[in-house]
Amino acid sequence: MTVLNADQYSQEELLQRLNSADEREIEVINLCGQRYIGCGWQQKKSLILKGTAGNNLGAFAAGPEIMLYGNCQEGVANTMSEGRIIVHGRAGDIAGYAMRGGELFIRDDAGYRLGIHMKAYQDKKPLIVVGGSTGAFTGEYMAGGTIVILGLNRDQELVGKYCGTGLYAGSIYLRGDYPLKNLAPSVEAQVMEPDRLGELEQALEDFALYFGYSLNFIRQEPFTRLTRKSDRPFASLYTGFVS
Amino acid sequence: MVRLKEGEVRIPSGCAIAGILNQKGTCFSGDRIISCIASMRQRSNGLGGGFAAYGIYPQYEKQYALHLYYDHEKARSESETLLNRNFKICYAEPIPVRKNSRVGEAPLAWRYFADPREERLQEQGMDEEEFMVGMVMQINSGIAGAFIASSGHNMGAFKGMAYPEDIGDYFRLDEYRAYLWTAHGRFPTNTPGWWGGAHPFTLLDWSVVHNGEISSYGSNRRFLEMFGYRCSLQTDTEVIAYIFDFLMRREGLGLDDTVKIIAATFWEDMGDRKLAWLRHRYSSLLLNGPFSIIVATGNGMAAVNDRIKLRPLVAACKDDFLYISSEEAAIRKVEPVLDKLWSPSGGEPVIGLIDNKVGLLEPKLNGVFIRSA
Repeated sequence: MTVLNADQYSQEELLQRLNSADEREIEVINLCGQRYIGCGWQQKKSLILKGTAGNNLGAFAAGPEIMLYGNCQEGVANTMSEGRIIVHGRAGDIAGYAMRGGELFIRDDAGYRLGIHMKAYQDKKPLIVVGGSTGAFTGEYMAGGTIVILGLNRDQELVGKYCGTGLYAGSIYLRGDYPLKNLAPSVEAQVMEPDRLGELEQALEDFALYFGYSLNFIRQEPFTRLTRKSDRPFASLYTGFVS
Repeated sequence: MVRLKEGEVRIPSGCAIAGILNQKGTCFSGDRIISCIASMRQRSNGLGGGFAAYGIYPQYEKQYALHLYYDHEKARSESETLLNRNFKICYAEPIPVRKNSRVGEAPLAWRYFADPREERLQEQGMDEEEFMVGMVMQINSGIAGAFIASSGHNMGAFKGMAYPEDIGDYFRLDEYRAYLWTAHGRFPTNTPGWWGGAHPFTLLDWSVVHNGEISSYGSNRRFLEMFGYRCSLQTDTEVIAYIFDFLMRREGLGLDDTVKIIAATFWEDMGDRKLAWLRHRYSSLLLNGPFSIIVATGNGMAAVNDRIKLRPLVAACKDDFLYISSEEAAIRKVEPVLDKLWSPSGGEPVIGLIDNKVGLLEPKLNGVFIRSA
């Protein structure tokens, strides 16, 4: 396995070395804010990163598996379409922005605008699981895929305001007895039967495995599923009546 | 060389801000803030960088420390005539610089430690601060080729048209010691960039560094003009410095109310009658558009985002230090292991105060408060 010390390279050099490394597995240590790591990667390479990742980690990626031991800044998994990013820490704003596929697991909190503009198409179904809570505008304009917010280290509201505003397709799952607050009026909230979690099962299992949580503990609390309320959520937005 | 066209090259940028405060008031060298802001180099483009430093002139603590920039000697002699008529100048000197090739053509930079002349204050019937504000406005808008970079006590702004780390080197900030530093790396939007347009923007002890764009600049400016503020530095951020001065010094509001005016609660969430009253009374001081700012004064700093957080901002603590920055990595660069790190929500200020120091940043608020134990 190649090990690169990010301290020793400029941002450009580091990206060049990462791009040209032949080995399947690469480790980067002392990462401190370097941007665009794994950006646009089509290969199924595996990256282990230690430190704070800069903006747009794994943006536009279609394949790599990225394990980050540390926090990431803005735009992790931006428009990613395949692959997996596992963040052992927190994420900044617009995590999973416009994701089209692949998986993003965040152990702690995520910032504003998590998963906005996410979409799904045929077998491409993006998934985001957040262990902590998220900022405002979570899942805004979502048009497909799945967001799961667990609130495991809950010391604040599970989601910030305007959650699911303009959500058109896909689902947001919230864990725990959560007051129906901060949710967009156009979403429908439905408490799920504990033994019928469907697509959630695998996501929770993976989350527990990656971050060493007990699955039983995570499943102790109920889940609420948010989906769009009607087939035409914006039909009366400007006119005040359904035409 | 092939010239790349629009769409063929991306210049990643977006301004960087940073602040470091020692809450015990212990002074430390400028090296730390320089390395912090330098690590966000990609956010700026070399058209502006600057620093505010508090606690750097203890030997002239009682005087106003004036930093003036001149395009030519004529501007200097005109300004000095005006200064001499209005102030008793204890000491004046060119601000020491270390020339480097990365800072291009630079204006002359001078500093003056001055007391307003008693007879002038009486003539004008003004208190010192009001008099000082008038002086700053008069020079900045009235003397061609001159502007005041800062005008507070025991503080100074050092700014110019280059990357911030190069400005820091140029002004030898490694040789200064301050208990509070803020910094800015600029990527100018809408304006070409010039020395006066670099951040921080200051007035009296206030300084502001800002990432974002104030689309309400026109209405903010027109409101402030009614109270004698003149915006002459051609950058939106200038109004923020004057808004803080107006609301907190002249109107005597606390920081909590001031923040609720510039980043007002949305009408649908207003609830509180006092907030609604503030929103009405100072509607022209709402800052519209995306922003993250750090406002500093003699007794601390406060950072705040626009209401829907359209710019990044993180805060962190380690022992007696409070760090604020556009990017977490810039904090980790100078303090790898932190006691606490978080992202404040939109419109929710992070405030760091110096223990036992009186000043305009007052602790009667709703925001997250950081004070060492």
